[in-house]
Amino acid sequence: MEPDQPRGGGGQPPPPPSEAWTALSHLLSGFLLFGGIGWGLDKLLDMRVFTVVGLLAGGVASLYLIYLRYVKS
Amino acid sequence: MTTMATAPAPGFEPPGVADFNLPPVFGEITKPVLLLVFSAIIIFAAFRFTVRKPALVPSKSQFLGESFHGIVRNSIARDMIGAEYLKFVPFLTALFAFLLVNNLFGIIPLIQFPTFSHPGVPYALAGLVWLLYNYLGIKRHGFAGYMRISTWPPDVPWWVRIILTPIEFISNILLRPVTLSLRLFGNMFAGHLLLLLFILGGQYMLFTADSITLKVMAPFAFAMGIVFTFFEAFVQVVQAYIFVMLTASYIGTSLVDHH
Repeated sequence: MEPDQPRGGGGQPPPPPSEAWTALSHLLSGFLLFGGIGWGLDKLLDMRVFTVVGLLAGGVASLYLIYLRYVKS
Repeated sequence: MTTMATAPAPGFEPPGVADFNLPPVFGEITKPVLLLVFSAIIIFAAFRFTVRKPALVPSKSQFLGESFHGIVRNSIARDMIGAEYLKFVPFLTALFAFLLVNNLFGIIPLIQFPTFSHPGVPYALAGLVWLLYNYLGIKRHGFAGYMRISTWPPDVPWWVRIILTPIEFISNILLRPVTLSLRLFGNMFAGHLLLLLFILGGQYMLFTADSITLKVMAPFAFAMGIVFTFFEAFVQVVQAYIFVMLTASYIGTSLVDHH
C-alpha cells in the first residue's frame, strides 16, 4: 500500500475503537432519555413503575439503534 | 475523616479532593495554570529544536520529531478521517503533544501534578473539539444535512425515528464532549489520588503511626507507589492517545460524504 493512501476512504464509517465508544454513548443516552422521561412521569403521577419501564425501553431502543448503525449497515 | 476507631496515634487522613485545590502561586495564578503555560513552552521548544536544521537524512532529534508527527499522521489521522486527513494532522499532532506532556506532568518528579485532573481543563479542551467537529459538519453538509447524518438512522419507519433520533442527538451532539472530557478527567484524577494514597499512606505508616507492624509494612506502600507510577505512565499515554483518536474520529464522521 502506498504510504499516502488513506486506508478507509472518505465515505466509510470510522473503524472499531471509536465505534465502541460511540455505542457506549448511545446506550447511555437511551437510558438517560427514557429513564429520565419515566422518572418525570413517576414524579408527576406519584407512581413508581415508569422509571423502570423507561430504563428498559431506553436500553432496548439504544441497542436497536446500535444494531441499525453498526451491524446492519 | 478521623472516624477510624482502629487507627492508632492521630488517625490517618486519606487524601481527597482538597489535595487538588492547591493554593495560588501568586495572585490568581495556580499551579495548573503555570503547568499549562509551561507545557506549551516545552512543546514549542521541542518541535523547534527537532526542525532547527532540517535535512534529507534526518538527525536524531529530527527523526524523533518526525516519528511523533508520523504516529499521529499514519495511525490516527489517516485511519480515522479518510481522504482529507492531511490538513488536520498539525492540529492533531499539537493536541496529542499537549495532552501527553500535561498528563505526564503527573509523574515527572518535582512537578507531579496532571493538569487535566482539574475538570475545567478537559472541559475547555473538549469544548474546543465540540466546536470544531460541529463546525466542520455544518460547513460541509449545511445544518439540516449535518443533523441528518448524525441523528437520522437510515431505512426505518417514521415512528421508530421518533424514538431513535432523540437518542442519537443526545449521544452525538450533547454527550460526546461530556464523555470526552470526563474520561480524561476521571483517569487523571483517580491516578493522582492513587499515587497520593500510597505515598502519603507509606509516610504515615513510617513516621506517624506508633505500631511497629505498620512501620515494617511501610516500604511495601512505597513499593506499590512506584509500581503504580509506572502504571500511571501507561494510563497517561493511553488517555492522550484515546482523546486524540476520538477527536479524529468525530472529525471523520462530520466529513463523511453521505450515509
